[in-house]
Amino acid sequence: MSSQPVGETKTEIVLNTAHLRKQYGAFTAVEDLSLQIQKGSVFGLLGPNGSGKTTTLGMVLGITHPSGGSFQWFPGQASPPLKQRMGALLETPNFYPYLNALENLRLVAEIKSLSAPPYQEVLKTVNLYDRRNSPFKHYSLGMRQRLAIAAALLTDPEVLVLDEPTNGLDPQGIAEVRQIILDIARRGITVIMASHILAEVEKICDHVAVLRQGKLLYQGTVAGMVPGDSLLELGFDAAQKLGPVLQEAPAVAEAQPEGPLWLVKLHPGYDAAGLNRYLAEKGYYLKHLQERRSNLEAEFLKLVDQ
Amino acid sequence: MKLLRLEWLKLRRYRFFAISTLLMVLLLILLLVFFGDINAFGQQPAENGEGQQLTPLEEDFAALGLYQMPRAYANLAYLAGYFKFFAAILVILSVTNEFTFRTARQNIIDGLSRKEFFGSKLITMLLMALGLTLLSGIATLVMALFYEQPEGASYTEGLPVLAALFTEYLLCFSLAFLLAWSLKRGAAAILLFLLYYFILENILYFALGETVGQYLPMQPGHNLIEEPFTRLTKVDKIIGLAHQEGFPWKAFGLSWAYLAAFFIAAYQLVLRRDL
Repeated sequence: MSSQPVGETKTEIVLNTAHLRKQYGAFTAVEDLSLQIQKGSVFGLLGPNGSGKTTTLGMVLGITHPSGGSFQWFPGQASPPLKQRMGALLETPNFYPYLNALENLRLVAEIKSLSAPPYQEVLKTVNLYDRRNSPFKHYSLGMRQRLAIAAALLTDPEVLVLDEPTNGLDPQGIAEVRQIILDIARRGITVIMASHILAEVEKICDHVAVLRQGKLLYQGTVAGMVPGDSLLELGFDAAQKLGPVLQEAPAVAEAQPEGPLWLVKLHPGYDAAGLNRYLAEKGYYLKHLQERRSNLEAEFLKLVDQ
Repeated sequence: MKLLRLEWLKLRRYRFFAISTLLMVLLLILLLVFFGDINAFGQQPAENGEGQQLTPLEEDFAALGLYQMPRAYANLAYLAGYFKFFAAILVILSVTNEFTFRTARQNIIDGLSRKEFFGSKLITMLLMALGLTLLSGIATLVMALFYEQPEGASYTEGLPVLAALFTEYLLCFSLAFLLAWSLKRGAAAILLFLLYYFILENILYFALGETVGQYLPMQPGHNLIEEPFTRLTKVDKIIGLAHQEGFPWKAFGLSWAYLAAFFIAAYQLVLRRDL
């Protein structure tokens, strides 16, 4: 597909925001938000309810007027009209309740001036083809959400913007919608997704921006949210005796007891196997040794609670 | 054309809207066709002040010349004018539904510009006004063919009154339209519209007096088409009522000033507000 020369690593930017701000009277919903979203990424906008996620999406989608700052889609590219390159939904799926799936999609296609929209294909992608002739008002929340994704896919978009796509769904619905999003991302479509559920962002996204009270707390890869150095859990029959040995071990940077376990942080360059060998040589045989990835949830809460 | 197609797709399956529109058209036709059969003076012979029996008058409106050119257009346009309230409610719903279903923002997200979105509703409203006006004109023409006409009566002389009717509709719709865009809720907009039209403005009118009151926004609508009954029943001669001759330019101009202002206000609202 790509006609770029091999070795060209210049990353294209899909969306750029600069010092974006939205003020509602004295209340600042979004403050000084500068984001850069790269092509092909699955970008999560993560934050608790009321942190400004929807307001941010509303601004870049042209629904809400920013109070300050600016944003730019596909900067430096003067190609087809933006809305034909993008599929988006904000908050709840919004359709005409008395129209069926097909009629609602026809309206979207009319708005986007599409000549031969792939109705069947997108309805099949989201498993709604069999229900295409039922009116929207009879749809379950999961079906509504899926119809919204179908509508967003009509243009064969380069970018998909989703706002809390699994909100209010049952576990099966959540799994279905997540799978659909992952399938879409695999096709190379950039996905921008707001969510207040950390596990969801962790499962679906590769990049994340964390918002709290309208302020950007973190932007980068999901993996980068977690500090690189991991912790080791050590278990020993007589836990107290382990303390002095750990203090002397050259691999150990920090050791703390936690219940019957010791939590150990290693110096860079050392690993769990090395520490285990060292302790065994000293005559200490561990009954428990496990790497504990610093919990993403904890990191998230740490960020948000600051 | 795209905007028109869009509205057609939206409204044709909207049962309440479709049925109401058909019902309105049907009622309007029935009223215009059968109004001529109504006895102009009621069933009871009238008495004058001195207890004298007046000649029992049992003439219906058709016999009095309801369908006679050139005044037939004006006579029926006056009746058709009452349908503006009915239609105004439909105009309100066509706008507020987009907010109730939250499809206004989805339309914008999907790529409609705010200007186009506003335009699509404006077109609906213009078509409604135009359709009702044409219906009134055509019904007049058809009925005139059924009834004997005065010799040499002109079928075109009375036509300008249709411009006045169109304006009467638009003036009424413009207020409904502005309320719909500002309130975003169908019930609230309809209620406030009726409240203002039938109560608030009348209170204001009497509070301000006629000199100032006649410039209230909905007042020119009352002066666009003259009430035809006094002329038909010749009561005007008895009480010495003066008629306005010629086209009601003052009311016409005032109406357009107000309706343009209302439309511009609604448009500015759509452009500036968060959806």
